[in-house]
Amino acid sequence: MLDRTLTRWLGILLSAFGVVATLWLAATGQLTLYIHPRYVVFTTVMAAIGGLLVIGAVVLTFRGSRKTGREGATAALDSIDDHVGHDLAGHDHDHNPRSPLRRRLSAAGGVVLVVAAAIALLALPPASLSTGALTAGELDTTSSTTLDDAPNLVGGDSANFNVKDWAALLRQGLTAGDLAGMNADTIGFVAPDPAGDPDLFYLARYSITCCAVDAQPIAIPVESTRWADTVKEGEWVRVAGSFRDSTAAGATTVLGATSIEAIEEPTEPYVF
Amino acid sequence: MSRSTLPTSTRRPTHHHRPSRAPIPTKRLLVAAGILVFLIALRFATADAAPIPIAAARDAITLAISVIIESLPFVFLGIGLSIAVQLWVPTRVILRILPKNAFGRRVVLSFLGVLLPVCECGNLPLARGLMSRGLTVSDSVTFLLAAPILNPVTIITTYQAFGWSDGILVSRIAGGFVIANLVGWMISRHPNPTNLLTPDFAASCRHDQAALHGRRSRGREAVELFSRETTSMLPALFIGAAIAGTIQAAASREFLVALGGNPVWSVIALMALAFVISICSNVDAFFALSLGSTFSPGALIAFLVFGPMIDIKMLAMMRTTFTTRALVTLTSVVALGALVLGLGVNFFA
Repeated sequence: MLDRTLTRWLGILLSAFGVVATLWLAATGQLTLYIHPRYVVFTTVMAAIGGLLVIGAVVLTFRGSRKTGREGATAALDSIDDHVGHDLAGHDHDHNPRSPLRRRLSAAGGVVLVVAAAIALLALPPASLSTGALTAGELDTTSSTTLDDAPNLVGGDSANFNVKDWAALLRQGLTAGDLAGMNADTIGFVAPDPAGDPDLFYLARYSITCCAVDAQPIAIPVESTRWADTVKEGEWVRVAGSFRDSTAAGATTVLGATSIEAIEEPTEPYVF
Repeated sequence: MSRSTLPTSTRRPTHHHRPSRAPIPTKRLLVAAGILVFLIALRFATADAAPIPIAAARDAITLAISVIIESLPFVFLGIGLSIAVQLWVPTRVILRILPKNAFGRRVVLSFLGVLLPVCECGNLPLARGLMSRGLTVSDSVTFLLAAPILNPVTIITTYQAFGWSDGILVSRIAGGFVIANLVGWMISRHPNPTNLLTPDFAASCRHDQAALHGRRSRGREAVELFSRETTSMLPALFIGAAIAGTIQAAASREFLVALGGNPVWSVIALMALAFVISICSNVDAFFALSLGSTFSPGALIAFLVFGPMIDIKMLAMMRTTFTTRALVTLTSVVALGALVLGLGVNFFA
């Protein structure tokens, strides 16, 4: 009984979860926690169409089963069951009859899947990727072409530059002299210097090209004496200052912070 | 075509009337509406719930959800097209416009993605639909493997990302075409290709091909196909996404990136990455671009050819249709093809 109900409704139920989750994220402006903004419209439209199909499926299934009577309804269920019931078991086996154990296992698996999907998509609050320490390899932007297509930003209105813009400028090899007169005032999360310098941290954000699965960190070095006294690793901060040559060994360009304040995680934590 | 798997004893009395005039049972509908309201209410009520405190677990879920939310629209699109093909395109039209010659037929099917620009997760429902309309296994697999690469959206995004540099675009198109047709040809040599299908899917194809049109309303047919395809595809998509998200959160990408410069290992590393992250072929070029100067061109090409054809999410979904043995062989051949292509570009281009 249970497995039959499941095979009839599993796809519709999981579709409904996905549709409700997607449309709710879209309505609350949080879809970009998971996908790049360029897919927001497509995803929302398809989710709406999926929602209509789900409603249509529910209504027509009921109408069909009522008209054809109990016998017809059972037959219709058999038909669906024949088509998809076995797929859930995920094993090669003789076609009929299915062993009662296998039926029960596949039903149990279906129930677990439904509950897990409901929790993940509908009961857990939307989350961004966790912030914190990044490795030296992750912080090394010299090889990242994510920054290649950065427009010519020098002399632009630097007040609106985000971490990605600044990282692009630094990657072009611009020195503190080139950046003179451009004040930075931007946000990101704190990633400690992998080498352990107590006066240096990286101001980082995740950059997304398609969806959260491909998130890559982008960071700029920030110099601030004993930063750990004011802010914590992984914390979101707003940093203001200007670029200068590092006081430590190695003539790298760093952001000399004049102010660092802890902030709430922004509603759009990623850069695109 | 009707879902006429109904036992003959019950078919006779049930199909004399068009079901569309039947009243809708209010009670059941109220239950369904209640469930829907509950789901929406649950989502609003838990919007500000406490997040999972363990970062790795939270990230695994976030990554899995991002795979689902990114893929779901394409799955709906693919199922929609599959329903359209099954209900509104008569078999004889499909079979008439295709060349009689097997090789030519597979070549034409490789380019079907140009007309139906769905990425890989949408292609599987479509390929299933084509098989249940009587297309052979080898023809359908050729379509399934080629279409995610040989479609306008993928080609345009790849061009936007790479232009003509390093022959990446050309190698991707040519490589995808050759590997898909090679696999199709190999399957056509199989003494009994139906054995490559799961017994259940093969049985459902036989039912469909034996079925007659016009017994039930198309709307009802469409809705049953929707239930059936989502019940097959979505559990696989969700499980595949969960596995991909977990691996992604647990394993550092660092290790793979460290292999980036080596002409041999970089190819293998990016194929492994493509397998794990399971991103959609329509957009994977942008991701590959971000790996651009770390990895050799051959590695990028292998990533862009292998990923659309085979990845964790796709294997989970394909398992609804093909036997495990068939998938192991399929994966090996495609992987070998992509590897040869990647190494060839690195060493000879």
